[in-house]
Amino acid sequence: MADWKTPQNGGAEEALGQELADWAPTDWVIEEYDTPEEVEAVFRAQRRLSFRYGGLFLAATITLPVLNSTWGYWVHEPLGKGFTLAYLAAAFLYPIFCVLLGLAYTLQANRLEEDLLGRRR
Amino acid sequence: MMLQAVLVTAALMVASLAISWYARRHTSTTAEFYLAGRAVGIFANASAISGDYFSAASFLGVAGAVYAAGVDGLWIGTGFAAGFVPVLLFFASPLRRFGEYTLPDFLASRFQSRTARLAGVVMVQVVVLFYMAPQMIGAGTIWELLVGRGFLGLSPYATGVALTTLMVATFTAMGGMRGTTWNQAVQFWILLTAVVLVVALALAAGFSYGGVLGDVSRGPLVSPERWRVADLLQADPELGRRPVEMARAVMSPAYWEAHIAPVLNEPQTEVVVLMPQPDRLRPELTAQFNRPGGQYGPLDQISLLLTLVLGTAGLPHVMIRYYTNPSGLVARWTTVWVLVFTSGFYVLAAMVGVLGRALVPQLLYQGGRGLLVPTVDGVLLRPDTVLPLLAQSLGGPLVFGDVAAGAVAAMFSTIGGLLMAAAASWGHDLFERYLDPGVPERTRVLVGKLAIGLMALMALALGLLVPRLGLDQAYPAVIARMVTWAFSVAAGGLVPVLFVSIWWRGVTLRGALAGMVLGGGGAVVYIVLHMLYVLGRLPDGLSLELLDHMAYPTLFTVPLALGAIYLVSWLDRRNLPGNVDEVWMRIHGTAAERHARRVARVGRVSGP
Repeated sequence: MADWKTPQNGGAEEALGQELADWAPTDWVIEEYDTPEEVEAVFRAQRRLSFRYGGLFLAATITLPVLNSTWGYWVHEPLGKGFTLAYLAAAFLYPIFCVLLGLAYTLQANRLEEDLLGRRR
Repeated sequence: MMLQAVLVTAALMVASLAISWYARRHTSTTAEFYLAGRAVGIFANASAISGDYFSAASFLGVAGAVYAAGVDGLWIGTGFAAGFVPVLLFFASPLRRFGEYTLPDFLASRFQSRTARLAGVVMVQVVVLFYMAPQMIGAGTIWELLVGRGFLGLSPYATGVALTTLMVATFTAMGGMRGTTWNQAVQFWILLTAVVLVVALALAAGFSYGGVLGDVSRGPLVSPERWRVADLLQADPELGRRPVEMARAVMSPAYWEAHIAPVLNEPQTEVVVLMPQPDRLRPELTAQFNRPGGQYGPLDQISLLLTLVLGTAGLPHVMIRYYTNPSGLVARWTTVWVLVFTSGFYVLAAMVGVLGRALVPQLLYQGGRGLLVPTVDGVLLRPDTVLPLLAQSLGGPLVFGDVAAGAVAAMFSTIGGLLMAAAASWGHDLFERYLDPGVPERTRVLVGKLAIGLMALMALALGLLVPRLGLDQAYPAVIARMVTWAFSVAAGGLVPVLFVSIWWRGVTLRGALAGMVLGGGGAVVYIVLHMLYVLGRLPDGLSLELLDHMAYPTLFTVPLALGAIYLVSWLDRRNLPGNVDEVWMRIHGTAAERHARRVARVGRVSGP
């Protein structure tokens, strides 16, 4: 059996301690595997998730320039200090929407994979 | 010549070379040379991807676009950032899980076809060349602005192009992907710091975003335009008035009397005047800074945004960076951080553009501290200079030096990424796979370095050629325009085929090739037609109204490519690739990376 490494600081010690607690001697021989059926299931679930978020993103992305061309209030009425809705959307709301959408998707996609995959032998 | 700026920029160049020199020990294998050993973590790769992505067009161009066009300019930066949403939703994790080295690698394995690989290589090279050209123009332009003189008999522009090519090729070939990653990450933080500094200085000086926006949106949006005096004095039948009256109405009396009035009796003389811009969405109105329509009509509003958000996933130099992540999970989190970095950067860059509209006239009035940038009655002739001007005026030589270094860093990191992506395509996809598959590892790396040299020469030629074609004169914001063209080609030629290859089992080789030819080829043809149209060289009898209303073809090339892929694959449905299950296990399963994580964990808790 190989020697154990000694942690050098508190944070690393805690993390390593957790890993040691999770670790078992059988880790050497465990093999991770997915079955084709499981992969097909996770593919379908991921596709549903990605397409749902993708549809939302595409709808927002196309709606904004369409609003620019069609809705007078969107472009003409300052909300205060010169900000129109069109300006606010392009400068702040759309970028924030993109970041939040990306974050929400990532959390869900990772959880989905954890739930549907993970066989060992 | 700004001595401090040159010194800071020179320091950046030396640092880049030092980093590459240090990283050269990690270039002994192709996995190290092209992919940094697939061991780049979330924060480092997100920084490097952002550095890779922010070219001169982003760093100087977005602030300039907002300065010039208000809300319409905002969409360029916002669209650049939003491009990573489709990358995250559809591409980052599956492509990384598939492994390999390049996008053509993926296509070759997905369709078990050399033709697919070759088609991928061609498309990658086309995108890289489209993207490389504006970077080289940026290099020449920044050298002109910063140093203003040439060496060895070259013009200042050609000197900038040649020196940048030499520098980037050297540090990329020396440091491989590991050195390029470190350089790109450092360069990203340099250019982000530069923008943060300028905005912070402006706010500290008492300027509020909302207040400034309100001020600059009161009158019509004006832009400098070059006119022959005779044309200026001739009545416009559509408007029912003479252009000279429109210009006179928006320019200051003092400037008018000093610069314009004295030449109005010389019909052949050319003058630059400010003109109120028409609202391209509502033709009965003049454009205003805080309203869309200052630059783009209804079709272009949609086409531009679609081009930017769909094109990112097809940029080879960006997507190759995902192969440097250790897993698909890490690739996802990396993209989330990229979204945060890019969105934050573009929000700040847009603020610089707005502040510039309000501050430039004041700075010019105060005189003294600003750069010698050409202006017309308080409006910059070259909008791309707004960031350097504000840096110099608000922060003095040191902050200006940081901005100059940021501009150079933006070019270096993007050109470095492009050279790596192109070299991987030449060296890995062509040489290793076809010309000499049995060649030893050391020779493969050497070929990669030679490929970088070859691409650098092509970049040099492109940089010198574009001004000769007159494109920089024909398109006022030629850097941003050409970068967006590269996005168009990527969006049409690579994104649809990658998308269906990952998410639809039914695509066949013929379907994929049809999509690439129609989507990518269609984009290239449209862009060439647009160039000829703007240069006035369209063949007689060929009149395309669409060219006037739509600068970017993504609105029809992407649906065209997707439609072609679906139709041809359906007709060819008996020839589905036989390895789809195996590919699905690799790109949608997680067993391999779970296993890798377990092995890594076992390695961490036990000694050697």
